[in-house]
Amino acid sequence: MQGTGLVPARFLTLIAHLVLVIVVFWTRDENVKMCLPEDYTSSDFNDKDIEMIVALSITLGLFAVEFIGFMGGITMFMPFQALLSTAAHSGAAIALAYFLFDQWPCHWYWYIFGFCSAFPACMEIIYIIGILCFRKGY
Amino acid sequence: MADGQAQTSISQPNKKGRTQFIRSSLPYQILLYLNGWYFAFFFVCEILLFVFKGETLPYATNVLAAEVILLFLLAIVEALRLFFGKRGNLTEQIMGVLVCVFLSISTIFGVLFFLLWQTYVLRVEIILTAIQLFFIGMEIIFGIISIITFAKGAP
Repeated sequence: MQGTGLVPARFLTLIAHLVLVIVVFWTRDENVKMCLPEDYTSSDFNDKDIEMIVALSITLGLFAVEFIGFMGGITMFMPFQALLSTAAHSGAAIALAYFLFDQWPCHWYWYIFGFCSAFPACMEIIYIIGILCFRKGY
Repeated sequence: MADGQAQTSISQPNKKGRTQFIRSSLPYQILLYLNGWYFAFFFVCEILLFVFKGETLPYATNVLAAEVILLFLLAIVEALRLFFGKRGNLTEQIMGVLVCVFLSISTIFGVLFFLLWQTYVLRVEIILTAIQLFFIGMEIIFGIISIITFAKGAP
């Protein structure tokens, strides 16, 4: 397992995704403006802004789940989960870079959230429950 | 859970009737291992950000060179720190972990330079340095814990 490099690859893609999510959290104004019509009111802006804050906060919570599973050693040496997580998070890092630089409209974030953040976190939760409750998989 | 697993699996091949405790801390080792990879990531990101800042922002003469040299010095100290920490933890030597804890004070100031005192601080750098400071802080805590356990276990 030491030689395959799956552990550092997964860790670095997780970190890259985490850094980009925090940057998006910091500079979400432009993205929120992109999904509003030309003549928006401040209440429209606030609605979309809160939607964005909720999405990013759930993402950070799912990161916590994945870091607990990974750094706690529960799924650290599981090749399938490592590959899945690496692929999803590297995809998310690339998509979020476009999200920032091309100022994608904010509701597109939900697709990134669903495929690249919620999906690996759900698999992680399934693995954690399977190991801690049913003693399965190791 | 992983800690207990490692202990049982490694201490099994011992002779009958003798128990050997492993005092090396697994969380500490995981942190040091991941911090090595994280620092490589941090280093590459900082170099690329220096390229960006050098191209787009005006710098006073020699300031950019000094900051890049400081980044390289930080990388050397960090590599030494992680080396001593890993070796000290695995061989259960107090000296190695102690050197690691003392070197981490200097790396904290090195990282704080990039967080607070360099000419232009970008938002990405705040996040990157915050993660690095988190790692160093956790390693100081676990380092002190493992110094205490090694000292207790020494005859």
